[in-house]
Amino acid sequence: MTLKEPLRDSPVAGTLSTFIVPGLMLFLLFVILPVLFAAYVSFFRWNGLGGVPTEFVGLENFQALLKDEVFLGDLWRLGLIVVLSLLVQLPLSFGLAMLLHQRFPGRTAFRLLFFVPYVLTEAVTAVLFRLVFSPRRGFADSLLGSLGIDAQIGWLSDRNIIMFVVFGILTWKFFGFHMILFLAGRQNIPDELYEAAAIDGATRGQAFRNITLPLMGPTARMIVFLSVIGAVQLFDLVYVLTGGGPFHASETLAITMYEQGFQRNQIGYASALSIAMFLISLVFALLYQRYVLNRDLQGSITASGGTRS
Amino acid sequence: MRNPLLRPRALVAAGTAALLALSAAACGDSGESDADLTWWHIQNQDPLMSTWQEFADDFEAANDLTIDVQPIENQAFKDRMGTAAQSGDVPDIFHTWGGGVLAEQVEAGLVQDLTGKLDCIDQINPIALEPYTIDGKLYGMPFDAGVVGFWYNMDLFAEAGITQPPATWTEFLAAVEALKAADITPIALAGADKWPGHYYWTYLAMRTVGLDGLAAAAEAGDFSGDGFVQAGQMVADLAALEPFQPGFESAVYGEADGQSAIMGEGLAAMELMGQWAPQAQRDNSGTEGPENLGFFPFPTVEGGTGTATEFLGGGNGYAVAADAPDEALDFLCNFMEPENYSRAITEGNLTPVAADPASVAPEMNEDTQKVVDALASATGTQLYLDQAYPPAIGGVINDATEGLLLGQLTPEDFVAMVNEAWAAEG
Amino acid sequence: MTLTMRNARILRHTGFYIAAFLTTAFVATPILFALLGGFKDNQQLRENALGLPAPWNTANYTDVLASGTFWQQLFSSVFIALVTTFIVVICSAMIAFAFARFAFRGREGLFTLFAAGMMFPFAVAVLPLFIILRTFELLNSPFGVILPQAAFGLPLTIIILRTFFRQIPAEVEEAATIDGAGPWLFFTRILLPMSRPVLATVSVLALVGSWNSFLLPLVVLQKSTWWTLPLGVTQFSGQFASDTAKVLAFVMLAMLPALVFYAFAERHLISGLTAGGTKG
Repeated sequence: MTLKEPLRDSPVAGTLSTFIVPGLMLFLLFVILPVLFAAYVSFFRWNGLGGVPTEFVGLENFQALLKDEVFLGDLWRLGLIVVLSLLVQLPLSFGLAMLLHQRFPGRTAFRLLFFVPYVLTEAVTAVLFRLVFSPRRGFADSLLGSLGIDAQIGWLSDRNIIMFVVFGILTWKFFGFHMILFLAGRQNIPDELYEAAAIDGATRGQAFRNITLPLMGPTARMIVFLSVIGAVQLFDLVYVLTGGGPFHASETLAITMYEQGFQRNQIGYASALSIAMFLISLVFALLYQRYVLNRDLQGSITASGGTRS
Repeated sequence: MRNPLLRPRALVAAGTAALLALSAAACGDSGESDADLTWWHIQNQDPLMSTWQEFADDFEAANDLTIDVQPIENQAFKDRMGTAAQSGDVPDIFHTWGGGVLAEQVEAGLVQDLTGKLDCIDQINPIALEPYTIDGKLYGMPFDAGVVGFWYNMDLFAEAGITQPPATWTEFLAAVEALKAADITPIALAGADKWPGHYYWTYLAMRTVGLDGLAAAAEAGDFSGDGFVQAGQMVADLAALEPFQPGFESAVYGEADGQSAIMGEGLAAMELMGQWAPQAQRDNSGTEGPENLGFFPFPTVEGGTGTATEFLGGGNGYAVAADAPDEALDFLCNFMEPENYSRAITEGNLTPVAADPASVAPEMNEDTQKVVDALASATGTQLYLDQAYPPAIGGVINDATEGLLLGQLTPEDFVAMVNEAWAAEG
Repeated sequence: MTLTMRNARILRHTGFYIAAFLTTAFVATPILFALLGGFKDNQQLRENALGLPAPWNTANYTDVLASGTFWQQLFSSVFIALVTTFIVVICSAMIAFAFARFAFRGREGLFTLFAAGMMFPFAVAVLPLFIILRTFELLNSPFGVILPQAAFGLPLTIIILRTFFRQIPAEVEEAATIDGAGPWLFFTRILLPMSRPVLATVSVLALVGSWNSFLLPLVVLQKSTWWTLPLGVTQFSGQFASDTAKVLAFVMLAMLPALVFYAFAERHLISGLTAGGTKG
């Protein structure tokens, strides 16, 4: 960073605090305090109805969590979504980004169009897909039928395929976003590199392998990071689509937390689950930052952008 | 920057305007509805949705107040009621099934004690008040009560050559096989909603260990007895016959592809459901329902203690928030005005809770009559377990039954889960 | 030579179009299903799920538009989104300004605290937030949704704005100081107007975030007075479960504002997301 830092005398504390305090208050009250509170409550058994938690149970909630097959299943499904995203969704969005980087008539229109699903609200999308996959009035079965395939597919009811259906919808929703990020990354690669390579006699394929792929690395790593954090938090779409069913086959961490907390009044247990979610994100973010993003650096999630000298 | 909305100044102006609008609109109250009374009910389909709305409109006009009426779908209602209870701010009048869920709300100080406050209480059959009575105090007013049993399509049964409704579990399984052999879906089930499934386990447990056995187990928090494992095994055996409609795992009760619509369209031979089933079949399918709909009590289990006259059941009622104005009580009694109540019974095919049913329902719809007869023959009743027990336990029972039905849990797993939930409730 | 090159290009373009149209079909089919389904009745939906409506039936759309609920939910969504955006942008701009232009003790620590906030999944906080909002009696109030949303929007907005503010040459501020402008005057009269593009970008991000939020309104707003569209759509689909065509019409109408907004603010939205995606 070659910024000129305005060297100012330490300003009057009062002025400074008027700039900082409103936002800081908001942040402490509605972000930091809830997280601390969740950590506190996770050591209690509490149904949340009035008053404060009193029945201290130590680590019992966390121990129960590690034995809870639903929670362990959530983790497994989280892994599945991440792996599928890496294997299917990322290559797809990368390929489309490469495609739309080419000049051909109508590419702007396609770019606009592919991004549309990302703009739609997840919950609304889920209502739509419930109807698309509805067993007797659904659109998906009619479409297959018109293609001559008369299979009764339990899109939302077959435990063996539900996660793939969910993943398909997630892909529909998010590939456009990832494509746009890839496209931006590609556009940041200076054309001169390719021109120089062409002068040196490199083929298109070589240029792609030796210039495009390595220089798209940072973008890809960022997208992986966003996908994982997004997958940990996944709630709206799946909750409205399946409620986590059939029998937990599509449940996510956030859905389990919601059910335990708001439907079964197990606030202590649900808080422990919240904390587990937080730790998963935190550990992942730190490790990812340390071992993967570190190479790319530049203004990443923590304060690295703020350190100079 | 062509879009004027995106200019910071425009944004500031919009924000300021919005803030002003807010202070005008919502000043002084914490976003509460402006209405004098709020009412959440689950009659979210016509005809009763309109009837309820008219009752509210009439009451508004007669008493010069406003009522915020919210018809909410059953499952969504349970979700929102759970959140509302934890928020400590429940609607003035809300639907309740009584039991442990109501008890937990009472314990949190959210529900008004109605003992001696309802002028119309003596018009109601005292037996119907039981689920709403906690420690000798009344916390809710029922408007409907009935039992759960098998509603069956007589024509489809005849087609499969079944002449007599099954009286024992063996006969029942045979009937399921016969229906399957005749290429008829034997049973409609809303797997995603979970509560319709829990009727099966509950009934089987009632038949194997009897009502006393069930009560004793709940008292001790111990469901490990042989009868409970056996009940679970029987649910699993039934599921193994694949008696349910295709896609039942994701079906809900009241939807175009749901349990009651499938019954209404004559696509399944039977469903295990409460007194509201015939009406729901018509509402959800948009048809007139099966031409010949019959009702038979849950079959007995050979060697079990329970009898066919012990019913799982319950009713629908309303509770009043602790801080609700007195008009809420008047509104409840407004339901019991003979004119209103008989209208509700006729239009919504409710099963009357009146002390003198003939006074409000001189001629009952034949489906309703079947429930009334069953209720009259009852030697004992058990409230739906997901309402009778605290939410944490009811939730586990619903969930675990789904696991049994989908072959994901063994009967032993089931019992262990329920026991664990009781232990945690301590 | 030129002919084969042209042939190769045509071939390549054909490949592009095939891939692009396949993707278009993938993207557009569900949306077209909603759009056209809303013009059918339930009978048609069952018997003619694929074809065009015959006859076109506008009753579903007009019914939804004529009902007060849709407009009331639209208003709530817009109102909550605007106020959230306003609060996020103002608070973040002030903090980002302090971070970018003042040197003070604890600055880096404080910045790390905010930046770390990006790692808190919102779902983690929703349960305790609920209890905190209950304590403040903010449940069932639009502010119960607005304030937490704004708070969770701070980190990303601050990071983006700080980066931008730091790029403004120190000379600009020195000139202003010489003219006698204090920090406040500099901030409101010079910095903010100079930052319009980036403010527009972060505003769009905050608007979209608020517009789409579901979990928080779901737990905070139990009473329908302030329901937002996402809540309304899910409730509507439960209430009119047997009327599929009408649900499709409601779904389509609920999607429409976002689509229109996207059409107008596409550039800001995408630049914001790319900034968020690469910086964040």
